[in-house]
Amino acid sequence: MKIRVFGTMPPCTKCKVAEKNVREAVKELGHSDIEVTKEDALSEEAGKFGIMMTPTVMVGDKVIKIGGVPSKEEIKRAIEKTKKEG
Amino acid sequence: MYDIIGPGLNALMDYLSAHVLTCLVTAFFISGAISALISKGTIIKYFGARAKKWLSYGVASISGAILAVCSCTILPMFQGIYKRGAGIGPATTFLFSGPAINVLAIVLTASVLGLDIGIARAVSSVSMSIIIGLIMAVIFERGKNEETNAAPAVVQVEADLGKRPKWISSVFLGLLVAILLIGANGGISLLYRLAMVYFLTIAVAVILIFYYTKDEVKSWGRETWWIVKKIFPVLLIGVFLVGVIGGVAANFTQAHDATTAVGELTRPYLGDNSIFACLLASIIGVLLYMPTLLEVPLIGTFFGYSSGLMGSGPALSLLLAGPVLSLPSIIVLMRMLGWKKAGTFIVLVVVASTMIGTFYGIISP
Repeated sequence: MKIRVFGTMPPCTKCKVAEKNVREAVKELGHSDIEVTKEDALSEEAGKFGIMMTPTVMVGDKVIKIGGVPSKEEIKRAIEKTKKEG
Repeated sequence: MYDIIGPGLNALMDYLSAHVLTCLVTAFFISGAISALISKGTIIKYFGARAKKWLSYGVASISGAILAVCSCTILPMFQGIYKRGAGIGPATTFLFSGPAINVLAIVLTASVLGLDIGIARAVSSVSMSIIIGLIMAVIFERGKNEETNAAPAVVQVEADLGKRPKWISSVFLGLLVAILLIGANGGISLLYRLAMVYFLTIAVAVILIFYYTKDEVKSWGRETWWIVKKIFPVLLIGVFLVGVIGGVAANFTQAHDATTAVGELTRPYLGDNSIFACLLASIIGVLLYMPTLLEVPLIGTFFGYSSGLMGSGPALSLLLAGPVLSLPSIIVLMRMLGWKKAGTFIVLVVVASTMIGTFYGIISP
């Protein structure tokens, strides 16, 4: 599963906190098959998903937060939900 | 030795009147609620390449209130709409109105500079933003290939939206706004105001308990505090510096009054409502960098609008042009858009601000 944190380059304060929350949430859950990437909100890749606000966090192919910082609980819940859906 | 610290502190004390503080505190909470609890996904849909044009412009002109609570989002959002959304028209509409239509800016403008100019600022920036956006689109998008840079129309819906009837969110926000308006209303006696605010607050608490999760309330608190941390200290330092500069300037004026010294010195240029004054104010606004909310003390105290030393026309021009552009953001825009588009936008901002300022100068009492 891939978790993407889209933010400005260089990252704004919120983008950094979003990435930190994601990495900590993943570490606390202990799943080994999750890849966390920090990407430029204005890249081609981000363009495919229509990213417009920063930060935007995607778990798998679902956007879980637009323009804000998701809490670790929100991230964990999203990860568990995505795992269940296979 | 110039008396520097004194005037700085005085300016700060004058500014932090109970009236301004109560308005600001409520406005911070409203901004936090907007930032933490309102879904942005639904609004962003209207910026897609395939959204109906007239909807994009309309939404772009007022969505700044909801999307641009943090001013850092404005430029990235602008680029997003421009590059892979509805195009340069709605993007520039958003860029122009965003800084002016956020809750904090309107509240501080209205409470410090006056309700009339506060309303004028909000209304004119929304209407002018649409016109500027349309002009940019007409100039630069005639015959544009519709397929280029079009992104998928739909951003996936956020996975975890609060499970409550839609009207509750509106009621919740409405109550917060009511608290703001009633708390700030000088027309009602203090006792009645306190009573009404008390009951409204209970209503808000009830809604929170029954319809919002603890997580959401916590994130509301976090967002509010984050906004306060980001904006309030800079505002205080700015007001202090304005006072200090006033103290220095007082040595060069007849009256030697630190609170009006700079205004006295700029009065020959900005004191009336002439087109020249408005034009000058617009150009100053376009070049000067203004941290969020600092345009208010700049106009009220520094240039002396609150003391009658600056005309209402140039004041409105500066309010419109100031927060939108600054030398640093102009450089960013030039890199993003190229000098032709960026230059056109800058000219449009100056012209629009000058015209609106002049018009307002004529119709205001």
